[in-house]
Amino acid sequence: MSTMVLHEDRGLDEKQVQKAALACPVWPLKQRLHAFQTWQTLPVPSVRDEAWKYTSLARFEKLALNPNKASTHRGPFKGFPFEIKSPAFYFINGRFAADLSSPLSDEIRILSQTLAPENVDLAQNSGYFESLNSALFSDGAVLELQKNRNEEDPIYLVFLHDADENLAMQHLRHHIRVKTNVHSACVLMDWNLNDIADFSTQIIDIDLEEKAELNCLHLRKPHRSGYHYTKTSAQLAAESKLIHFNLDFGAKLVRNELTVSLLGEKARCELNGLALALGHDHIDNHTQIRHLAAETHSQEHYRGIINDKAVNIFHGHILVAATAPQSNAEQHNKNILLSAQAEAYAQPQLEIYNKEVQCTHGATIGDLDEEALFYLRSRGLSDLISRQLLILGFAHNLLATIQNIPLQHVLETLIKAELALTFDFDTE
Amino acid sequence: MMLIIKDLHVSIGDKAILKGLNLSINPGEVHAIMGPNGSGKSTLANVLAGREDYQITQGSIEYQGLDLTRLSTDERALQGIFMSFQYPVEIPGVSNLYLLKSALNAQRKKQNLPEIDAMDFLNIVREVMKQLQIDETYLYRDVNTGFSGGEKKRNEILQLLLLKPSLCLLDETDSGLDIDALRIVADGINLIRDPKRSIIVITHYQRLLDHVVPDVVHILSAGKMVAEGDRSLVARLEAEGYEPFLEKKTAGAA
Repeated sequence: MSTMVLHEDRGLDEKQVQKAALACPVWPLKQRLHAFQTWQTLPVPSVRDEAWKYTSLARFEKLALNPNKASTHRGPFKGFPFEIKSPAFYFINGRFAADLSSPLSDEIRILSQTLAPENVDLAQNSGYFESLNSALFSDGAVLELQKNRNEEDPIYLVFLHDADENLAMQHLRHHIRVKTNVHSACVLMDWNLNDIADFSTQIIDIDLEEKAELNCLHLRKPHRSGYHYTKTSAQLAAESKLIHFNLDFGAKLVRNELTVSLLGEKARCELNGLALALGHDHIDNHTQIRHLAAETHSQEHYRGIINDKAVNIFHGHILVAATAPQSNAEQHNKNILLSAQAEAYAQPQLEIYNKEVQCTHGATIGDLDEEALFYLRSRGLSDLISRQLLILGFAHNLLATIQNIPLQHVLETLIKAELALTFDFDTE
Repeated sequence: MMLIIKDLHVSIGDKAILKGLNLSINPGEVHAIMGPNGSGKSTLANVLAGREDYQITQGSIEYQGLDLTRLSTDERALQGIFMSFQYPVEIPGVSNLYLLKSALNAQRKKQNLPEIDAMDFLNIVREVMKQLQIDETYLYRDVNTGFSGGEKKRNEILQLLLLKPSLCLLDETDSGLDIDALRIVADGINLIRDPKRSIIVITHYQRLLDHVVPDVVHILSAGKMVAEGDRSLVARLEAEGYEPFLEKKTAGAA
């Protein structure tokens, strides 16, 4: 039995849709209203839906959602540890902040400043959070990456959260296209600036043309009491390659849906994810890798460190179509539970319609390795330090795939601070 | 005395493994402990290193005048006990360099010494690695991760040479080593032989003991020492096997 929710009671009405259309006219009011109506008729996903089995929105659906005000915050940003030297584009409360950002180039356009709809390639989305985003998104970035750019020098998109009211909303929409033969890199960051939790959605479409490569890291450091939904869809043409790293610090709800479609022959992806869920955090990563052409390859490593009463969910769907012979897929999900009340759910789902493929997957959920702990202690390290070292080692193992070493170090420092790890892991 | 074990009884779960073991070791001595599979050799090493899943149900262990059973695993290490693992553990995400440095610094902290200077540390490690013919890339690899059996054992000896313990427990350090690696490892062990240091070599085979010559050889069977002698005992074992020693014990008991 689904109860009809009165959206008006949650502080949402067509006025907000109209406001969003004014802020970002490239996505016209008509389409927004259509999306809004879709959203209004959609039931809130329930735990009876397989895709939301472990994530209840019961509390969320009762919360008032408030419009967000423009922020005048121009730094210094509390706790923001990144020294960004390469091009960076800032959005604050869902609005582009030109004064904080690098000059625009032919590689980037800002949705709110783009008037010609034919210049942007945005699809209508139909799910619950997607249609809300389609109705309300106020800005976003369109990247047309056409120059080679290595991982040490990525384009940064920084999304600052500076809510002035509880669950003030920000909705963003991005499109990243990497041109044929171009190898590029970007870092997306969601960063919370104050003590007020917000609600955000983000929809990111990625298109890799033939032989293109993209290294994309998405870091989310939200307010602990916030609600955050991100949907990323990537389409990979022949011989292109996506390396995606998803780093989540927790919140009341973090839900990420990442779909990678390997459309062209020899397309490949590496998806890495690390979730740190503490307190009452709830982190839910749903990934889907679709092998649709021959000789496509995917590798996926998702890990969770879960403490207190937090919950971490990984759902990894791999589809290998009949049209994808000689493909291979490798999926690993590992979780460390640091407390008796912490919860982890691992749901691998393999759907294979071709016999000439290789698929492996494995999931582990457990405490720290007792044998490793004994080994470290037998070398004179205290129980506490040994535990911390194993936890950080577990994270480091994935972070080591990040070739941007200064960034890797900052992330490691953030993780240490989050987990209150007290030793110095500097191996220089 | 370095170590005095009296009437030691140890079980894991309901299963008694050591059943009244006695052993005394003087500083500077190398003791070999040999015995068939399941006799309790590895248990002895692990109990000395402080593994917690074993219960000491009876007896005492005195190490340098301390009641060893009251010390935690890491305290034992800081007091100078080192076990070279039969199966060194892989620790992904933690570099060998980091482990070596932390272990050394934990020891220095215990001795109220400042942390070792990074350059001094590298110089010391490089020296030891050269002795063991270990490539420097070892340092930057994750602890034992993806190492071959021989590499893991050499890595144990690297730690041993660096940490300079007072009591070394070598639990089947020779297994998984080819002839050349065995020679290198043995040379490493001989290098730290010292009048103040004692070494327990647990092994199945004679070959390591050809290089690391023991002062005393013990035969452990069914949780008890059944024979003791000098190095000639090793040769007798190789020639006759364990059978005569075990039978002698049965006859004596009857």
